[in-house]
Formats: sequence, C-alpha cells, structure tokens
Amino acid sequence: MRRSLVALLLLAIACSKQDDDEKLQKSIVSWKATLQIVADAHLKNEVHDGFALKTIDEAVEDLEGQSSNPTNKHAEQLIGIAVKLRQAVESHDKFAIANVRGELAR
Amino acid sequence: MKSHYFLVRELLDNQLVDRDKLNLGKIDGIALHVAKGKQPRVTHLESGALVLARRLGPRWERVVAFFTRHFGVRKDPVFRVPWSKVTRTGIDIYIDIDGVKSDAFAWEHWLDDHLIGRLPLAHEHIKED
Amino acid sequence: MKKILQVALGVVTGIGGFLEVGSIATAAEAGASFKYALLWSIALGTICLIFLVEMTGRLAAISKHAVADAVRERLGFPFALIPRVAEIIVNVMVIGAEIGGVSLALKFITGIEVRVWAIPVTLLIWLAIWAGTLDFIEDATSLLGLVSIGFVVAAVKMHPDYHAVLHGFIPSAPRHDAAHYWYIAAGILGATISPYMFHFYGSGAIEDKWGEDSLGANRVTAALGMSFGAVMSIAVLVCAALVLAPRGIEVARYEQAALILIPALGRWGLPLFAGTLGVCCFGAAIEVSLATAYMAAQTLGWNWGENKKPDKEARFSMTYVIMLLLGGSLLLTGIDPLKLTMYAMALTAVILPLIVLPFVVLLNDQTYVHEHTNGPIGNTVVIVTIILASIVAIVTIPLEIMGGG
Repeated sequence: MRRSLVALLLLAIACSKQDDDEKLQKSIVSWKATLQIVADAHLKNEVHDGFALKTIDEAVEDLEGQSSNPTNKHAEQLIGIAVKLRQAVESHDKFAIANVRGELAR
Repeated sequence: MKSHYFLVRELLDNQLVDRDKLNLGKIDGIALHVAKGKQPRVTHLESGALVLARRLGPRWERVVAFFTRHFGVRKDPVFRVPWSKVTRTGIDIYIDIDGVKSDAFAWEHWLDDHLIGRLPLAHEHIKED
Repeated sequence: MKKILQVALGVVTGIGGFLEVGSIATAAEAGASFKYALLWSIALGTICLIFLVEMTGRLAAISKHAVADAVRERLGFPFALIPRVAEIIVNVMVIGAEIGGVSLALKFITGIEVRVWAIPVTLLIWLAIWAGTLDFIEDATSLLGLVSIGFVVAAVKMHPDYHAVLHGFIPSAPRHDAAHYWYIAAGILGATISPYMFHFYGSGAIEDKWGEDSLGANRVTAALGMSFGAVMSIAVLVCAALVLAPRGIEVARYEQAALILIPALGRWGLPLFAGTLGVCCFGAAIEVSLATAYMAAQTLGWNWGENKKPDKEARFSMTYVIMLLLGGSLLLTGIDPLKLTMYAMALTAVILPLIVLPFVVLLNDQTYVHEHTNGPIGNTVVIVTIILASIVAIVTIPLEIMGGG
C-alpha cells in the first residue's frame, strides 16, 4: 500500500514537472500574441500608454514567476522584448514600437 | 386561532410580528409547563441568540452566554412572549405587543443611537417611512 | 408601467449574476481555450437559473416570504445555519472581487492601481445602498448595464461562423486539456447559479410588493432577465473565441480579457470593456451586499428593506455595512480580484446543492404557495439542478488541483 502511494506521488510530481514546462510554453505563446495586439493597438491609438504599460508589466511578472527555476531561454527572450516595448511606449517612440512589433512577429 | 398546533412545524422558527406589523424576531424556542399527571401546556414563546445557541449545544450556549453577559444590551437575553399575547397564527405569528418599546428592539435602538443613526443620511427622506 | 419596470429587477439580477468580474473572466477563458465548445454550459446553467429564479419570485409573491425566511421557518434553524454561514463567507469574497472589478475597470481607464480605488469605490457602493431606493438601484443598473450590448455588437461585427456557434450549444467532450475544460464548465455552472441572486430577486419582489397578479410578469421577468445576462455572457465568449483563441492567448490576467473588443471596435473597445466591467461589478457588489443583509435579517427575524430608512432597521443596515467593510478590506490586502473570484466560485459550487435542495420542499408546500405549487417540469428541473450541482460540488476542488484552474 505504502509503496503504491509513493509510486503515485512520484508519478504526480513527474507529471506536474511536464505540466510546468507545457504551461510555460503556452504562456510564452499567449503573452507574445498579447503584446502583439497591444503594440498594434497602441500604434493605432486604440489604447493609451497606461494600459499598454500595465499589460507589459503583467506579462513580465507572469513570465518571471513561471520561469525562475530553471530559467527558460524563450521566456527570457520574450521578457527582453517586453522591456524594449515598455521603453518604447514610455518614450512615445512609434518607430521603436513598430520595430518591437516586428520582432514579436518572428 | 386553532385549537391544535404542530409546535415544531407551525410555531418554531416562525416569524413574530407585533401589532404595528414590525418584525420582532423568530420564535427561537417554545416553553412548556409540565405538571405531574397533567397535559403539558405552552406557556410562552422565546426569542434570542441564547435560545438559538441552546439548540446547537451546551458549548455554544456557554459562548453566547458569555457574550450576552458582558456585551448584551437587552434587559434579559431571552425575549419571552406569553401565549396569551398571540392574536393570530399562520406563516407569521402576530402578537399584541408594541415591538418598538419592547426588549426585542434593544439592539435596533442601541445600533441606531451609537452607530447607524450617527452616519450621514441615516434619516434621509428619499426613502419610505 | 409597473409591470414594465418589474422587468428591471430581473435584468439587474441577471447582470449581477452573469456579467460580474468572475463570469466575464470565465466566459473569456472558455472562449480563449475552447472556442465555442463550452456554450452549452452557459445555456444549461441559464435554463436551470430561469426556473429557480421564477420559483423564488413565485414564493415571494404568494407567501410574502423570501427564500431565507422560508428555509428557516420550514426546515429549522440548525439546517438553515449551514448554507447561510457558508454564503456569508463566500459573499465577503465576492464583494471584495466585485469592488476589485470596478477598480480594475478604473485602472484600465486611468492606469491607477486597483488598491488605490478600493476605498472610494467601497464608499460609493455604500452610498448607493444607503441613500438610494431599490427602484433607483434597479433602474440605474439596468439602464447603465445596457452598455454591455457592446459585446454583442463586437461579436456580430467579427462575423463568427454561426454554424460553429450553434454547434457549441451541443454538449461535447473536449479534444484537449480535459481537466481544464471540465473545470471551466463546472465554474460556469457554479457561477451562473449564484445563491445571492435568489435572495436579491425574492426580497426585491417583496419590496416591490408583488402579489398573485404578478405571477405572469414574474415568469417573463425571470426568463427575460436571465436570458439578457446569458446573451451578454455568450457574446463575451464568442468575442474571446474570435480574438484570443486563434492567437493562442490565455486569460491569465484581466488585461488579456480586456483586449477582446479592440479588434472590432477600435478605440471604443477598451473604454466599452472597462465601462461594462465597471457598471456590472458595481451592480453586482450592491446586489451581493443587499442579498447578504436580506438573508441575515430574514434568517434571524429582523426588520428589513432597502426602501426603508437605515435608522428604521439598524441591524439590516449594519449587515451590509459590515459586508462592504470586510470585502473592501480584502481588496486592500492586494489580492488579485480574479483569484478571489475563482476561490469564491469554487466554494459556491461546493455549497450549491444545499442551497437548491429547499426549493423542492418550499415550492410544493401549499402553506406557502397555495395552489401555485410546482408542476412536474418544475420539480424535474430542480432535481436535475440538485444532481448537477452535486456533481459540480464533488469535482470542482479535485479539478482545480489537477491543474484545471
């Protein structure tokens, strides 16, 4: 009985590790697309700075929280792009925003 | 008024309503007088947190008794209504009592005097009387 | 005229049930993760709700007693205590979440953080209940709530595949992420059938002085009000299915849900989303606060009434003041309103069977509803709802643990 419980526990941990990686992958895809919409909308003046900045902050916070241990290359890459987007929005640099938008599309 | 009542189904937990149609609490308990060799009679109806606590168990009764002793505003934590005051029964039980002047309204008055009545617009005339 | 305004109570109840902070997020998540596949759960929940709300109104109109009243009287204090205490705990969380929803809406418009808005929003909600009448609250919320039609406009503008949409109303097994699918389905069912709606609707019916002549209007009001809410909820799901699903966007944060109107409505998208969220959560906060006060007053036999002056029923007024204070304080702790509403929904799901069970007794008791007892259809729906609610109650917590939430 005890042995089966341990086996079950190990299986659950193994599954949840796989789940964590899968979850992170999905989050990266999700936030990448989110930032694309936000960048597009900001370029067309459909959202104001405040909303764009807050969304970028949420993206960074969520990704950092999920990818802290061990660190994930793709997550770090996206966080880097998000930071660039933040700077572009803060300085009202439409050209820079368009550039970041291009990076996100790749 | 009927001659026979199912005490639990038709009286216990039903609403007490005073002569001005104000709610005076629920019938939380029913007191019976049991004399030797005689049929038990309902003497009065009871209402109050202490009565409710008794129904849950002695531990709850002790806890609530502590609070009513130290923080209660009623003259008596148990509000008793003699059966003779009951004028009409049904879903609600109507009693010939002026609720506002009775002990059942003690908490209403205390809250109104000390908290609710002191907030702005408490006596506002937008609403009904 | 009175009968037309009667519908307002239904619409407000519907808004407070279908378009509050949790329901909007859940509908958006359902659309984002599974496109139209979960539409059946909204429809199923709505049908059960229409029947239950109609029963609440019928009970109130004939017996002049609301649900909490009747449950105490008919089933006794020890039985009534369990669902009532559970509801109070859940309602504190819901009120906190709704205040959070209004604050989120203000954050989307101004960029100022949620925590800053907690106190002023709580005060405003308190003032609306304190100084306003039920008529004013009903009419104002219904009118302002019409802004939610923006979701329908956006959905139609984006030309969904209506064939696929209709297909979503047929229950189906998920093609992927089964745990997540059933978790959202359970969440939608649990969130749709919110206990506070019964207390609010029934007590509102008594305050509006419904009688035996109101029974027909009650049926119409329940059906129209809940359907209005459901249609808006469906529109949110469709918008999310068209905007978020194709791009693989999940609703991890509310900001992502707020995107769904932008492609269709351009610069009106975000303000309309924020406006709808703000108005509906404001209405919901009022509804839940009042519902708790109604519930407490009726269980303990106090005087109650939104239309009466606060000083005439101090205990009733004190209850919603305390509920607002507790809910607002929860938000000041910095907790995410979305998480708060998810926990509240899970807890509601667990207690739902106990809340619905008394309907079988009360609506067949001629002392309360005279000759207007439930017919065989009504009783069947209640029993099916109890079974559904029990299944939802059992699976919700395990599904959340399995990674559904």
